[in-house]
Amino acid sequence: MRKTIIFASLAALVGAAGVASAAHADSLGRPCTTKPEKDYLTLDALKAKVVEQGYKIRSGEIKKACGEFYVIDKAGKKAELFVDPTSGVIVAGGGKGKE
Amino acid sequence: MPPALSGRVAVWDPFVRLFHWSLVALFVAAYATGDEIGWLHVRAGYALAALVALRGVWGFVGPRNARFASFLRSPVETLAFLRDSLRLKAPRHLGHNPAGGAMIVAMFATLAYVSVTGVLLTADAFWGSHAMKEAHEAGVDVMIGLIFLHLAGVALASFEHRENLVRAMITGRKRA
Repeated sequence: MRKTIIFASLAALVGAAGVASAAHADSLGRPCTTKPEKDYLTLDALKAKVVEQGYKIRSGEIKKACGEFYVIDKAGKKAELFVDPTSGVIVAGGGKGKE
Repeated sequence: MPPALSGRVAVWDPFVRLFHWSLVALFVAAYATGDEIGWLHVRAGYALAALVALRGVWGFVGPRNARFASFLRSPVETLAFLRDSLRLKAPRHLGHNPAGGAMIVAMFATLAYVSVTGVLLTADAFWGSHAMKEAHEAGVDVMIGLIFLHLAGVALASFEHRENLVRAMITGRKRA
């Protein structure tokens, strides 16, 4: 019994492998625009652009020079979108389906 | 027996020690990657939850000082112990003292709450939910508070009984 627990703990530490595919939150790691903040659209305007592109928005904010949106895509899958805050153009996250 | 080991007894078994320091590392990793590096944050969270569950089992089948029955005390007894500690009059315990036992219960409950809210955030129902995110973060704030209390308690007990409890949790040994 004790050996089983020790082995299981090492496995837990090393892996949690099966859950690597779970949906999660990220920063993009780079800005979505180099233009100054005064050129940004409002959050509401950005949300409208995202909805226009076929997404349902759960929440969103402007953070680290990106519009960051938690959305459900047309196929009903969860996704995190990073958009250019000056235009609403999707910079990352659009093509990646998260389960 | 070599001088360094004479008069010292084994208190913390290898699993308890591995568990304790892994928890520290995983919590720090999870805390640091919160909204930034999702894959690492989620893995740390799951590993943490799994370890706490295993410690829960160990608390029933492990060696004496690892067993919950050996260190969990009633609230009355725990409060009396805390009061005595603040007067520097509390008795020395080889294993977890009653306050330590209460801290373990509090931390496990909080970590369970943080893990559950974390998992819910990955579910379709709560994806992007501001409310669930706030609930998750509130639990983390509680955990931070508990950690500060824990560090203070360890420092107090170490001072009170003139021993290095941090080192004891690394080597597993204490003065007899």
